[in-house]
Amino acid sequence: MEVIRSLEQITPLDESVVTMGSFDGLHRGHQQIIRMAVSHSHVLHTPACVVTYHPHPRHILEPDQPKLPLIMSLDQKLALLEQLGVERTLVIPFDREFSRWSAQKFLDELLWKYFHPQHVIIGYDHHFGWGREGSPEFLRNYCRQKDIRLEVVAPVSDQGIHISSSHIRTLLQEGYVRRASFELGWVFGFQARVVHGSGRGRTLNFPTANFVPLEENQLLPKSGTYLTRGRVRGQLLYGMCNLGVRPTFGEGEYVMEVHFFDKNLDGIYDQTILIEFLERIRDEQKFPNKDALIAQLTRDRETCLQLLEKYRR
Amino acid sequence: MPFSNRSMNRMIHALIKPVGWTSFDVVKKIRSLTREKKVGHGGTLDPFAEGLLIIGTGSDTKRLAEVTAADKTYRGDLFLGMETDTLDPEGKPVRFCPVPLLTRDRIQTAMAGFLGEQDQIPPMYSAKKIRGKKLYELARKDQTIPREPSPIRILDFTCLEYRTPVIRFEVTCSKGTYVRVLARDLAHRLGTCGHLISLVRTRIGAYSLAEAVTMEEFAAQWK
Repeated sequence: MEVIRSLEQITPLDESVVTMGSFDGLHRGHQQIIRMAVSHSHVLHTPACVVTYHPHPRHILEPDQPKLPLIMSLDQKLALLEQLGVERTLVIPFDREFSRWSAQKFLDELLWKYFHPQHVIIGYDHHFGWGREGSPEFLRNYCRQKDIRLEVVAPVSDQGIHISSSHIRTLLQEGYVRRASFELGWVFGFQARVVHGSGRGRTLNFPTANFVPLEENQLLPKSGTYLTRGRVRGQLLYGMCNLGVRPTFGEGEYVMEVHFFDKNLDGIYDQTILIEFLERIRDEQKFPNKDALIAQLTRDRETCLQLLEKYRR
Repeated sequence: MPFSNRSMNRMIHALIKPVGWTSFDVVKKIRSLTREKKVGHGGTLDPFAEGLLIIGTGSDTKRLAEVTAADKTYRGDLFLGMETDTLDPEGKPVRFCPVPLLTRDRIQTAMAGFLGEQDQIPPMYSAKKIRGKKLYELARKDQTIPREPSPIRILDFTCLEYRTPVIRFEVTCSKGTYVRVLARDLAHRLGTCGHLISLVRTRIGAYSLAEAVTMEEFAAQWK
């Protein structure tokens, strides 16, 4: 897949199938839009293109608000788009200046100029251009003038719930990682780098590696203990992850630490590992003493090892 | 001119059906070009498909029956992650599924499981008649009725290329095999769903696409 990161680098296409959106999470609803675009592109023998934005528009448009935590990093998004069969992705560097482009300018000087789409597919809730002027209706009028086929894809529902990025963020923040993965259509996880921690785990006989997510605005699931799966160089490393402030020791610093079950962790420092969250085990808890914590960690490990059976194929 | 008018009267012609034509469109065209009353074809190709179509003219329908009964080879593209009601690109999307990470080896192993004799249930979108009704006429009214499985045989099923999310394959199968159904079943066996986005018939028994002529070439012979 060709990735273009600035408007100056782009060579115009004679024809294409295009879809656009922020696509945070690339969940089942997003995937439906992309799959339709890719399948049309195969039938029309033209490239399937995605237009997306980085940073997330809300980070620029709402500078006073705390930054919206993101379900996935840009790299993860690009990797998944490639897997979905997209041939070209334009990542628009979203800044104040770009945010002031009118919807008409967006269509004339970007979509039409660089893509000449025969077919455009968007989600029902996608808006573009200054003040969110570019609604699906606005686009419909434009496409009629230019003789472009437009498809507006309805939301995907499951058990009466519309699958959306914001719903998935809520699920993760409440700790429902399995449901979130189901709605995402991929196992929720993110790339994280191993850093040196306090070394406390070793004194508890539960050696851990501390992690820092690569994406600075990475959304973390609710504090607590999780069964996780690490992926590094084609290897699967199962483990249990603690997310939180380690209340038993009263340090207050938020950490992400993983105790791997069956691997010697030497040589793991400064590596980047994809950590996937498979199951939530329990809430974060303060224990009266170290022994009580060790007893709980031992029970957690048992729980994880039992749950793990279904993940080993 | 390789053919004289007289030799065309009772003949088998290997033609290339273009995308978008029904097999019957080809028959009609040949009928008007040759002014032959009896024209038939040896095995339907869906409108979205292209490739070899054998046309018989004149009273030599016996040879056409042999063609119909022969094994056929197709090259197709299976699009993973989206299923349509017709199982081809002309239908409406009905199902979307995540696609697992796949390798050619894994796909080939799944394909090997389809070799041999088996029963296949014809799709609702097919010209097959049940109690005098064409199935696709019912399907268009959103009706589904039980269908008898028919015995088929897969002689060869090979993955030519996998560029996510499209599997390019080659299959050799017996008469009456619906490649659309086979492709959908392969997608299911790979843990996802899918539909056929292109299909080319490359061989029917002893006839191959390389020897076939386009509609334009055939028409030129008849000027």
